[in-house]
Amino acid sequence: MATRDGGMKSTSINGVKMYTIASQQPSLASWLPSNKKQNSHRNVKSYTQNLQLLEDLRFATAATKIKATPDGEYIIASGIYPPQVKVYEVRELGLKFERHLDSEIVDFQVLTDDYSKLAFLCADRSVYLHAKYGKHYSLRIPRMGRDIAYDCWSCDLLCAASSPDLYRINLEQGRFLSSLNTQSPALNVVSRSKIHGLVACGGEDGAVECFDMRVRSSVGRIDAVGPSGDVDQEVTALEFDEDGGFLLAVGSSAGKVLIYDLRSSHPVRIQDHMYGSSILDIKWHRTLNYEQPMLITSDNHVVRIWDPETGEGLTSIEPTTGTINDVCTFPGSGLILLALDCSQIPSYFIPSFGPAPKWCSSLENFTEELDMGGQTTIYDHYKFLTKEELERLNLTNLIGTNLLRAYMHGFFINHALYKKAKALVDPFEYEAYIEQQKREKMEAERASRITVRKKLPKVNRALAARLLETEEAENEKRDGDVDDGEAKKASKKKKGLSMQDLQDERFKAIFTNEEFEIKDSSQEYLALHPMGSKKQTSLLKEHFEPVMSDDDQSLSDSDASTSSQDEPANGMKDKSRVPRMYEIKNEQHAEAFWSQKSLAGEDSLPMGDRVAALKDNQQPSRVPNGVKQGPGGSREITFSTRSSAKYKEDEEDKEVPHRKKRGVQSLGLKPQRPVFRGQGRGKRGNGRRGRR
Amino acid sequence: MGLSAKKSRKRGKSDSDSDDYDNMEYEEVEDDYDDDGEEEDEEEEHGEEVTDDEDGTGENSEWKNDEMEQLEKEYRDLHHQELDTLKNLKHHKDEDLHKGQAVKSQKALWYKILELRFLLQKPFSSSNSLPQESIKSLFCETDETVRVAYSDLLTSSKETLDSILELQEALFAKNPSITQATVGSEGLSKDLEVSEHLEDNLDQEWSQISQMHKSIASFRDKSINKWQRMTQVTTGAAAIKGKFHAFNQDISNQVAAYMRDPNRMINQMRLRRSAVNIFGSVPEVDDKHKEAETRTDGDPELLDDSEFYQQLLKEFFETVDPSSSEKAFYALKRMQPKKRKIVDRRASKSRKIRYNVHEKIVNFMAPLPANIPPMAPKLFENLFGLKTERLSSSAAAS
Repeated sequence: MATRDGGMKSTSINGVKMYTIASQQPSLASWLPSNKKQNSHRNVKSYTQNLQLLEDLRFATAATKIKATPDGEYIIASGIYPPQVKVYEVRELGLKFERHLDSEIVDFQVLTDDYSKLAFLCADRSVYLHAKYGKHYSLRIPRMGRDIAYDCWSCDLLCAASSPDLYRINLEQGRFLSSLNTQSPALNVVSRSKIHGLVACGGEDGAVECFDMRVRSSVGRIDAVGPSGDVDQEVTALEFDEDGGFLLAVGSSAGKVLIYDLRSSHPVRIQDHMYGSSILDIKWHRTLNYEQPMLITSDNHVVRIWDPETGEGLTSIEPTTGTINDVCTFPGSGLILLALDCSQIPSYFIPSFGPAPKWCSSLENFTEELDMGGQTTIYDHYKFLTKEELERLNLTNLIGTNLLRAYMHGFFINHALYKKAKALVDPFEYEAYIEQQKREKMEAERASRITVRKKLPKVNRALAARLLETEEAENEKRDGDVDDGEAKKASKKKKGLSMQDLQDERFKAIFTNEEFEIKDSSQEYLALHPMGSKKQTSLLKEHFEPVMSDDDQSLSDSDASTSSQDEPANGMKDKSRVPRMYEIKNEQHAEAFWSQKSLAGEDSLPMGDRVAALKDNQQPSRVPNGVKQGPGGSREITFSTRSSAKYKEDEEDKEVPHRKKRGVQSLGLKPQRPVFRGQGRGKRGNGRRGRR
Repeated sequence: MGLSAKKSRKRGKSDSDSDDYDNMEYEEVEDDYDDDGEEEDEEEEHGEEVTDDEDGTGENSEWKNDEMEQLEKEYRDLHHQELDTLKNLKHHKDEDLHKGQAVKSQKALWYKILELRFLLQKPFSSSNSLPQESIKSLFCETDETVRVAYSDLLTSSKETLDSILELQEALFAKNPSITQATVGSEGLSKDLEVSEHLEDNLDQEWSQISQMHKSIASFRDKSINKWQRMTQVTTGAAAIKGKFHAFNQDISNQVAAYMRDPNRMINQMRLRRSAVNIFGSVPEVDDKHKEAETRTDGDPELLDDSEFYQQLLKEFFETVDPSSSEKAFYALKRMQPKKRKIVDRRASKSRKIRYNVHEKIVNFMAPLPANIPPMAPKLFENLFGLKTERLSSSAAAS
């Protein structure tokens, strides 16, 4: 954390300590008389305790430019409002004089080693030449000036303005000389090398053009900002290396610094300030603490001190009271003055960077005393975030503000702010959790809705399937026939069968015990079920009259007289009874089949077809007779029936009711008799139909 | 008394129409004047009569020019009236056509007369510079050609005057209305009686001219008044009769009112000898003598009618060329566009670089010795490695 002691604030970044000396003197009303001012100072404790590097080191509104003279004896600062320039004598630690100008000072140059010759480039296109005694002369350039430089070998004052021409004012001949023409639409900055006198101009189109003042023509031109990957950016700062003279640092309006070797058109290094604001000033600073000169680059928000060879940052200065307008350094020392957009001009002393100037060597004593005590870094309560993390937290819009401080490959942010941002991001996770819960519930519901079919048993699968199908059919009938009581009764009966078969313990063995399994291949089963099925199909194919067969059955079952109204009801009963006969008694089943055959064949078909039908009937009739009674018995009966069948028809028709009754009774007693009687019934039926 | 006043007014008006021929008559009058001087020595009454005659002769000379115009007009009027009467009696339909033709012919004659008048202006004005009586006699005596020229001039002017008088008489004969008017006047008889008594021929001629003028006066007034009334009736100006009483009078009355004081106008027309460079006016004694003789400021023998001449010119030009009027002239002036000077507007406020020496900043700074390192020239030759790249690119191309 920052500690205040005697008006000096110390901070530490990456182990590099920096001491801030800012005059916190309260501003007094200008209308107060001087006596009261002096008296009022004594009442304020902070006044006596405050440490001032230079007295009256401030401006009413803002400071725009600040420079030190080459001899190190004077500090010259320009500011507003009103437009003025102040000259401080460091030997006396105070203000020497101040002068007011007619318009704001854009830039100024110290032409000699001391303050005796100054050139000011003002906002009204004027160039004021000041001497030791005051204003000496003023000229006007055609366009608005942006930067000014002085070539001491040719006495040319070079003005970069909003035009492609670099204006030249020769201070020896006392007149304008022909301008140096560039290919840029306008010039933002002009810089001159102190070693070889090369003059470089930075243009609005991002190009740097160099001139040799002896030849007064363009020596080289490159697109200096292109390699940084930015499009349509300007060159806003230029500075030549003061040691070897081979390096040129270029600052762009995108907040990047490119270092060029004059022997190559590719940058040696590209450093990003991370703030996105244009680079204001670049200084190559050499001190005894480092073998190589360090670069001091500044934009509106931050001043960075870093190694141009490795790109490593030593430290950075971020004033909080205003935006940075200019930077002032003293050769070989670690003291830096900043011209801010506020009334104060703070001073920053970095002992590891360089010693204090001799005129303020007392700073080192203060810093040594402060070193005794333990110090904590100012970034303890800060959180470092990379750009990706910023995007996750939706804080990319804070880039460029005081809340985010660019550092290395990311940004420092206040921990409290970080927590708030993180909390803001939480609702999204909660919503995701809710969605997951919803999905689980929906899936559970879906699972419950799905109906799993019952597995068929291993034993007697065919039988179980039939039973299930019958159940389904019954359900359908129930829906269809609600009013019919008979239908309900039938359905009830069937229900009982099905339920008993499945659930009743007495009948479970049918579907579990292998001994109860029905063998389709057995003769007994074939004699009943497959035969019935086959005959039915054959009868249907041959005769196509299932209703007729129903009528016969109804007559045999009930003694009541037949009527047209009762026929559909009887049909239903017959259909329902067929399974009974099929399941319970084999004799009845056989009779039904025989009756069906004869009736259908005789009535529906013509004589030829009837004959064919008779033949067909004879064939199946022979087979069961032969099979059951034996070869001798079957032969006799079949021959007699052919000739006697015709005659017997008449006799049997007369005795129909009696014989039927006996047949039913005898079926239960003797198996052979139903065969003969079945045949007889078929014939009788045919006769009746003929009568009708 | 009234008659005499009228005569004097008419004579005053006729002065405005004088010509050089009239001036020649003046010179003849001067000769007569010498004779009259002799008579004055004898009788005072004769002197008085002579002065009156002199005035009349001057007016008659001016009257000649007016007679020319009047004759032309009257001739045309007579012809017009005759045509009208014939057409009215014979063909009513052709009246308008003939009237139009008559108007055209009248205009043509009028323009011709104006042309003649314009041509006579120059010799008439230059005639004022001719030598007067005493000097004239000297010139005639010394040089025979001058005397011959003068005699020729006099004879030709007399012939012209006679021809005009004959023309006027012919017009009178044709137009009966004029004779009717003349019958009523009694003054003519008195004038005739006076003329009989005159001895000199010149006086007789002037008297003839004045008689002719008087005879026409009544007819002239009647015809002008008639046409004025017709104009008022057609334009409806009669309704304004109650107002502007002065302008609603007849034209003859207006002219008479204006001519009540003819002396003022006559004096304006007279010129001084000093104003005119008279030929042979060098002797001062002669000038003094003449000045003593002249009772008024101007010399009665020197007349200037330039004002009347200018008025005629203006009217002529306005009818022929309307654009020559003053209004058109000023209108043309406005239409001309103003030309602006070609000025370099960027020269002010140092917006252009001027390579003038500013004395005050001469030697403001002194140059330091250039300490260029030895590696600089090579570095500048191949700055940013551009030339090396070009060589490599060319090598790659080859």
